Amino acid sequence: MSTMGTSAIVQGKARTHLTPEQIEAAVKERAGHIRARDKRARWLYPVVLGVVVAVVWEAYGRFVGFNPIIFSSPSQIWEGFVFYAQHELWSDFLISGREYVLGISIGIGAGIPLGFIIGSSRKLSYTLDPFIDALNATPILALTPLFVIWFGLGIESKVAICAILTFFPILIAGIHGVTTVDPLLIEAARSMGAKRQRALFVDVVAPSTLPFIVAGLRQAIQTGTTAVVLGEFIGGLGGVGYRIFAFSSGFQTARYLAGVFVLVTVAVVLNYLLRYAEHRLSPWKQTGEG
Amino acid sequence: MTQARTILSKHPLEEDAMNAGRAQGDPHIQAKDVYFAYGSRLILKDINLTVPRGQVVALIGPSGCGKSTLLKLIQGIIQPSFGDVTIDGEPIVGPSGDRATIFQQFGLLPWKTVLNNVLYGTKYRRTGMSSAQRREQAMEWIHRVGLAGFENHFPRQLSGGMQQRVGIARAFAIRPSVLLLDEPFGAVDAQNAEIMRGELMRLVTETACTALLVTHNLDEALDVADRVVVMGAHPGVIKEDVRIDAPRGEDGCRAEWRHTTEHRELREQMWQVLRAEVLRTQKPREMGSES
Repeated sequence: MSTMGTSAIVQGKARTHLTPEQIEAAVKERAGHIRARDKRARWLYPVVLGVVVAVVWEAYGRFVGFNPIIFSSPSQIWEGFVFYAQHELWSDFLISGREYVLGISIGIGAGIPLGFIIGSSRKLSYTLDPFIDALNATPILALTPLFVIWFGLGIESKVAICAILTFFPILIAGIHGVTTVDPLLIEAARSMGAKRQRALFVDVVAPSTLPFIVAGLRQAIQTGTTAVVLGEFIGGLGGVGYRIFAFSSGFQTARYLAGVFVLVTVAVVLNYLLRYAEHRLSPWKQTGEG
Repeated sequence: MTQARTILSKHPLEEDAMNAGRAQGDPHIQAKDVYFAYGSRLILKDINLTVPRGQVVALIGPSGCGKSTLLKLIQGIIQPSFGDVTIDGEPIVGPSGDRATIFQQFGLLPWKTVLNNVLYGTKYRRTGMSSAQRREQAMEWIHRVGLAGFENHFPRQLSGGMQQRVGIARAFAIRPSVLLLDEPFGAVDAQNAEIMRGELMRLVTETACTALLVTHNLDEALDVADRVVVMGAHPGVIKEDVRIDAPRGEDGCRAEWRHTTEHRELREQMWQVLRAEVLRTQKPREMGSES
């Protein structure tokens, strides 16, 4: 049955010829169409916007032209990317990647357990909360030059700045998560005879803290990339951030923008991975149909 | 056939312990001179209550009368500031799998499936059962509360009534001898509440549990309880203690008795006590808001 036909039926124009079963089928079909269209729109609309922007941007570059020092067209950026890919991209990527993975691992590895410990102890959280808040409010990025002096131009300084910057969001998320566990769930577990901390932690505290940790991770992943790039700006021997800075200093704007696009791609992929992990870690979040 | 004998008395303790009609009627839960304060506020004052084994007691009273607090004292989550709460003569030192609670807001773990929610309470109690046995028992309870086929659903995928069925299965699965019901149907829609009330009472009877039911609903109390304790608030005290001997039907409720004059008169009598208590406790706030 065509869409036009069903819409006519729904509006009651052709009702006399149809059995209730036919009407029901038509109504369902129409609802299905609307759903499918909505689903398609979710990916189609942004793709259309992206293509339109790229075409207009490229056309402007071709017919009006950019000052190459100030800006570039998509095709020039692509050429810049190809150049970069043929030269240092891979080694830069490995350097930045190592800094990032090491830094964020240290930040997460220290942040989660400390968050749980501090959050579970009233004395510790009373004592440390003001300092944690103060340090978190401090723009620690300002300490990057100091870290470069302490740890040198190698990857150590970037690992350190990345670790400390990712540590705080995770730590705070962990503390917040532990201290806001639904008291009813604790009471329910205790009322069934859950004796001490361990059972409560495994069954109640850890899972209910998970969404907070994931929120902390999201922030940490973002902050971590910023930390690595900025660290490399300030002092480094290689890495994507270092290269971006070098290109921009040499007024090689197309290559510089290509480097930025590499960062954008990495950020998008990381965000997608996190969403996937979140999906796998907390299946109870889905309401489920049928 | 539907005959009720009521005792309206301020001090029904000894009487109750002796008159308890059931064969299994030795004192099970006892509160002796219990006081409980939270900060400088007295929540419970001089509570004396003896519940024989197998009795179903409804606790009813205005908000703030401490009926939920009394339940928590029996659970062992909190300790009395003065006095003793005992189970079979032994003072309660903490929560135990021997006493299960069914919560108004269910208290299910959102990250566990129905089966695991029913299962996880059973592992805290040293019963010597293998995990396969515990699982089998959990499945049996899931069947008994009518949730067969939903074992692998998460609580969020279920309606309120079904979630409370999980709560009921979880409570019974730990094989308690005392069941503490904290407004179990307060968050369930009225039709489901009516149906589930009967089902729950049947399970209570079958398992011969001693049950304490906290409720705001006088009809619910009269429908299912062997005894209704009316409490007053600020601080929480026991106002009335009423035995209800009218037999319960097969569905665990007193469907027929509901229509008798006796029921109507008793209900009216108790309502007057309750009403006075509710109005009394609301007065200061009303005066405050008017001035």
